[in-house]
Amino acid sequence: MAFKKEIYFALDIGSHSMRLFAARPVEDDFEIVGYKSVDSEGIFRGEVISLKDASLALSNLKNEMMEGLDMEIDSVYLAINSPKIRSSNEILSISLGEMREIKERDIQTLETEELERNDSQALKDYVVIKKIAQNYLIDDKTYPDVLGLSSDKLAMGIHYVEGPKSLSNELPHLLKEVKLECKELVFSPLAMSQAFGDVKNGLFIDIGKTYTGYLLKDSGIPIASGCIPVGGDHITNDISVITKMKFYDAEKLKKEEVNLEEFSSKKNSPSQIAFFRMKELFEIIRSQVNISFQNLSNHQIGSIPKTSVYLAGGSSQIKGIDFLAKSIFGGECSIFQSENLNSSDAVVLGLLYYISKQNLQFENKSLFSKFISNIKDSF
Amino acid sequence: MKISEYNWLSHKTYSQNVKILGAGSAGIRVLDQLVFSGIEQSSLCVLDSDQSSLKQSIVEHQILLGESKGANIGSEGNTDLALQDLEKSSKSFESLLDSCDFLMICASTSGGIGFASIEWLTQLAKSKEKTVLVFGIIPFSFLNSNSNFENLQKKISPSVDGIFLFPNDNLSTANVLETGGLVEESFAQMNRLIAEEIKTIFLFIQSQDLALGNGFSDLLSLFPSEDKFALVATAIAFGENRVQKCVRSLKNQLLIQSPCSRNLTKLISITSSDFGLYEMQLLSKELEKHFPAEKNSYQLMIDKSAPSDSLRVSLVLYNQSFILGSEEKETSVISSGKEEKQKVIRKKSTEKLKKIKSNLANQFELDFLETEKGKFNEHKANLWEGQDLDIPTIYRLKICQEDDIQ
Repeated sequence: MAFKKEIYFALDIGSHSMRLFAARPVEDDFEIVGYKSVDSEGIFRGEVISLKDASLALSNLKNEMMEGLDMEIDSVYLAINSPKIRSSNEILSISLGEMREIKERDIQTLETEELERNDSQALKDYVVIKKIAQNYLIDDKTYPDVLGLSSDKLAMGIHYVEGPKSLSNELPHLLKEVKLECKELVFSPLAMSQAFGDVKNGLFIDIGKTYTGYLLKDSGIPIASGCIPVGGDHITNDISVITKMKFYDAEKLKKEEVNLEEFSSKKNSPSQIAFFRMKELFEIIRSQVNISFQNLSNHQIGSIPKTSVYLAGGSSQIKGIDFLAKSIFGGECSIFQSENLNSSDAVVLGLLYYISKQNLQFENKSLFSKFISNIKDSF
Repeated sequence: MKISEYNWLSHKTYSQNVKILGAGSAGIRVLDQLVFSGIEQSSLCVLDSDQSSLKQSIVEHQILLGESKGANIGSEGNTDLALQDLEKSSKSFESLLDSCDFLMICASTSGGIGFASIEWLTQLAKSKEKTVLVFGIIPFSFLNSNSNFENLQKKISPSVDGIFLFPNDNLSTANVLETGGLVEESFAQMNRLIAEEIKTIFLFIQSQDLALGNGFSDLLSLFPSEDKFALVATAIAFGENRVQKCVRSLKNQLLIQSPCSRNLTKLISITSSDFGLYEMQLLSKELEKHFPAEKNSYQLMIDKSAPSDSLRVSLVLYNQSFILGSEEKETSVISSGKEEKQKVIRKKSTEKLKKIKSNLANQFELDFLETEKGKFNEHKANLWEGQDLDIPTIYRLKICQEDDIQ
């Protein structure tokens, strides 16, 4: 396909910085051919608060990349996240009338049901950013494929990620301002999870400047995701407010001296302040994940089992964060590391993996994959 | 058509013909936010005599005034010049009004193109028997242009069906004047807030699926015949404790934080797909705590297509004395046109308003260090499950005050 030969661009617009990666497909993988970043302007908590400032910063980023590669850029894949984004698990089901073999047309009927679900939501303030097929369900048991099996009912679990219409309009509009087309909006935690390779099970947490995205995968399928309006700046700000220290100094202290394992050493110490902020954040994520987990019909009501945690984002580098993550989520903790990239690059790097995988999926001809492909995106 | 004659339920197709007009740079910025909030472009139109202002707008339908004189500089606040420009473009507005039944105008009342548009377009729309609502952005009182608004109010009163006011003084209190926040960011927030209020009214008009109440006629019945003012606030919440979340959000909205917003008649509109009686009781109780009033009117819209766990609550506050700070009795005197007495009453009322504000200011002070937000002081509350997450965790959860952490 012509697409494979093209250079593609992955863009992450965060509150701290805007990052743009360029990559070229190489067989089943890709090669990064360009990487630029600029300080973010006009963006706060994932929203555009000053179109003028944001478009100026983005324009600079685009120009730097174009100069570096000596080529025009007209479109990008864009990572999107905001505390206003929410997710849910839903089950779509159809009755087959009687116990019989499941055929291709039954799966097509299921697809029609899904489309009707979207039509009924068309007038809402929220739009679907991403929908991910989970598994087929027969008698509460999950199957990756059901052709040839017998049942009187066919169901499928779908993970929906939804955001306000205003949000899905704002960022593409910002891109338009600098003459960039948005090829696809990709939910940041989904992209970030790809940066850890082919991990099938675990909780992926990206701690940004002002918000934190998360995604829980079970057997490679997302079952919970969302965004909490707390990020690394909150740790710095807490230290700054409580110790009456300047924000800049508190930031330096956070990076160099804070150790979450030493939280009990001294009352109101920076380590203790940071510990309680991060503990609260992780506990919020755990409770949100539990809610999504309980909504899955094929799981018994209860808390999620111990899960491995994969951390990225600037504040994932705080000393002792793995100790805290382990104590709250129960499983092992891995922190994003790369020779040439820093921890804040995980989203945009993961986005490149995501694009690469999407590209390969076009060649998959199975009915199930076609269905997944069909319900992949709403815009 | 008189607004009181408007029968919501018998006009199923009426909602298809609403036009929202943004005039001048202030109106244009608000309409840009309406695009972001999902209002269809076909319902929007912006106009200005300043070409650069229109170029920056994302609203597709644009009317450039005064093109013949090479418009690039706008009317420079000159209302007479702006009126001339409007009259020269009257054909554009004739056809625009012919294509709608309901006109909503959003503009600043300070002077120039916004002021002129409100005055001229309301009269033109009324001559065509259109229903007209005005969303007026009142400039800061320190700019001394509020007298402009009073003049405008007198002029348009006979031809307008309702005026919704957004005083900059109130909108910016927390953002700019008190906290010293960034002006540009504060204005962006204000525009979003105003857009949300306009959207609420727009949805009132558009709604056709009312389970209780009489819809928009309820809202309009709150307007008296001469002084028609209202303030609007909206909150949306999801999931567990959604009623409390909505009330908390409403309480935190700057427009209705003013002491003057208390003890006023309110229309409370609830939109949900699955709103229960218990929640209705809870909402009523919670609202009464924060917005006591002798008379509240509830309207419930059951919208089955709304998200299953969502709740949208809109408050429309009828407030005829908000701007002048006068009481109802005094307002009626003002309306009778006795100029000298008006001045005296206005002065008294303004002083009284100041006194009320200063007396009640303490009620809005937040306890327990809630203002200690450091870098986030300039931002609005970052609410999550009823807590402002921008406040340091240790303060909020009182961890270190317990002295047992060791």
